[in-house]
Amino acid sequence: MSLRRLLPLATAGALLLMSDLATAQTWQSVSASRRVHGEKRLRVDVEFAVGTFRLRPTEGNALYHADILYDAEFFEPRIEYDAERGRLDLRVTPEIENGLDLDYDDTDQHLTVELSRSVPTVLELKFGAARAELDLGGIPLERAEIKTGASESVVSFEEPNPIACDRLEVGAGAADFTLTQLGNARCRVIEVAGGIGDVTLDFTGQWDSAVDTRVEIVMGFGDVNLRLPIGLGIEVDIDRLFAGFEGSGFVKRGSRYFSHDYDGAAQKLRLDIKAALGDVNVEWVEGSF
Amino acid sequence: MTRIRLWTVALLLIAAPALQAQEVVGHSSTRSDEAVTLDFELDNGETLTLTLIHGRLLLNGVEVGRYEDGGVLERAVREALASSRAQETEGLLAQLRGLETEQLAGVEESAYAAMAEALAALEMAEVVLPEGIAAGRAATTVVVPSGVAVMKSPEVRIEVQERPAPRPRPARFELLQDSPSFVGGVVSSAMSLLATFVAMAFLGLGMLFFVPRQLETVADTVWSSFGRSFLAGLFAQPLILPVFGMMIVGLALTVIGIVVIPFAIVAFALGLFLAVVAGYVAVARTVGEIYLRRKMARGEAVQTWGTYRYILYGLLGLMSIWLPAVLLGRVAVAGPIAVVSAATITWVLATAGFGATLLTRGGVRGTFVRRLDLALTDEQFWTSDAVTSPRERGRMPRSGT
Repeated sequence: MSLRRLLPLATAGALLLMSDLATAQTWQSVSASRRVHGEKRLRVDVEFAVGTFRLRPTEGNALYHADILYDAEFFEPRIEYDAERGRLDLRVTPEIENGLDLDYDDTDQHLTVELSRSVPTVLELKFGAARAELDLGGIPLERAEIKTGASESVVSFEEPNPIACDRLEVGAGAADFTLTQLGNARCRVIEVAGGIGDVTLDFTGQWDSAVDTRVEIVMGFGDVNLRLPIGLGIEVDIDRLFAGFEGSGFVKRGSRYFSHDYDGAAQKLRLDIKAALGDVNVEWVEGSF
Repeated sequence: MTRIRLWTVALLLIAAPALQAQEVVGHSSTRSDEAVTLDFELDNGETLTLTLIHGRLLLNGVEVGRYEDGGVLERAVREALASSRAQETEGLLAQLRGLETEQLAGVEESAYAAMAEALAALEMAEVVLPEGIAAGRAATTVVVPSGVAVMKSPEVRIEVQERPAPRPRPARFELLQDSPSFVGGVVSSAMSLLATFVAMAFLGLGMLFFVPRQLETVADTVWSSFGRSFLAGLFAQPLILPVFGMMIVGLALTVIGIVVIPFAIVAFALGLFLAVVAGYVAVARTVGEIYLRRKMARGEAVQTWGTYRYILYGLLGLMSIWLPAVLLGRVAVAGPIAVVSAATITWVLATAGFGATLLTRGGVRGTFVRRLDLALTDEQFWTSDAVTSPRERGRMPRSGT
């Protein structure tokens, strides 16, 4: 069951059941910006409940820029920057006592964040019933943790991460989640945990020979779609319950699968996959590394 | 006019004594229909706040001028804030300093003068980049095949290597699997059926051990209200996904609930699985009970171990529905017919069991439990007031009356 089909049903059902749903919307906007001024590190915490969440690198000298349009009837925004700790706190969370506007599919509510290309950054992002379009490429990412609820999310790395990143963690509840150009992420560990919904992982991008990457994927109910660049040395260790695995392009040695060029490949990638229900699909694409 | 302006500037100086050539590191703004608030964060940790609200211009909370609600000044400030240049503080300051003032008149002119004077005291803080990245950290070497386009990134050194990009291979991983023979296929299917039987029998034993009353209530409901149970199960099936979706969306909307979603998914799946399996076992118990009671009514001796025997006999009966499918599964026309028939009957029974589980709230509510069926039992010969069900008490002759 695709999330696109599931969510409208759920939303319609919830709308029917919630009697205190108000229809009036009071739009307000909040924005904030801060110039890079000697910060050595930036930690960004985001909690965004409903709407569209965008994140990208800034083109100017800003440490961050945040722009929020929100429905003041139901939601409470917060933009706080703690200069001493170098911590930016961005929230658009519901005021439960006013009820919840679940018609997020059409809402104009949004949070747009731009982050510096020059300050090492740690990200902790949580978004609920939100659409997310995140381009983390070009942001010096040290570590990132992304948790989504019921959303359609695309996280991309359009440009290489200027620094090596320790860990990228993604937890998707009931969400269709797409990660593209992971080669540019330059992360040592990438962890993806999916509940329900399809997860697409695109491993193209510019791989850094100085960074060995290990990817752990744990899936509940849903497909895992892997886009693998030809020529990258890939080792797959898969543990399945009722999941299918299309081993096209791999040779099996023992209990593991290896790409044809594995032994001669300059860049290697290890994938540990645990899947319960759903298929693990592989698509081979041209790559540059 | 001059008097007003002097007064305003005096207030401005009282309100913001530290504004002389202050460095600004950032800003934040809030816009609603009623008000516009603009906070400039200063290098020394202080804040300069400009507020336009209901015709009053406030500087750090002190009124320094007046303007016309929705007039030229307010519109100009709102437009400046909405412009893309205002995203960064430097651009915003430039926008506000460069407001077109020709159309301003009267109180708005003096209000803008007060604002402009406050803004004039602000200077943008110097951009100080962290050393590591700004000065160019140890470059990373990225090797790419020749002819491959690479993106610009000053921190990543690109070495173009004369290595042809590997050609895609029509690689194909094939699992070698022997096609099983007819007998092998039948044996395999039979073993699967046997395994299912054993698994269900163990589940039944577990339920009998831990929740015997609830199992009996569900089984009674299947027996006495089969049609109602089937309809309940039938109408509940299309609601499973919406209910599940609602639960997930509800948790997601609270944001805090996101972390609970994986557990909620597991709990929901487990609950659903248990409801279906419990219902199916209850159906098996009912089928087994009907069979054995008829046997007892004929006077045939039946060994005890009571209810579990019901479940075992019932499961045997339900599994036997699949025997034709096992035996004929590989036969051209008969096979699919047998499989579809067995699947349909199983679905009907499982739906009724699921519905009974829902109707009884998991075996807690006995609203639809059966009445004593005298045709199927000889229990009436031992009936006394103490053991007769309240429903039957009114219909059966009392001893001694």
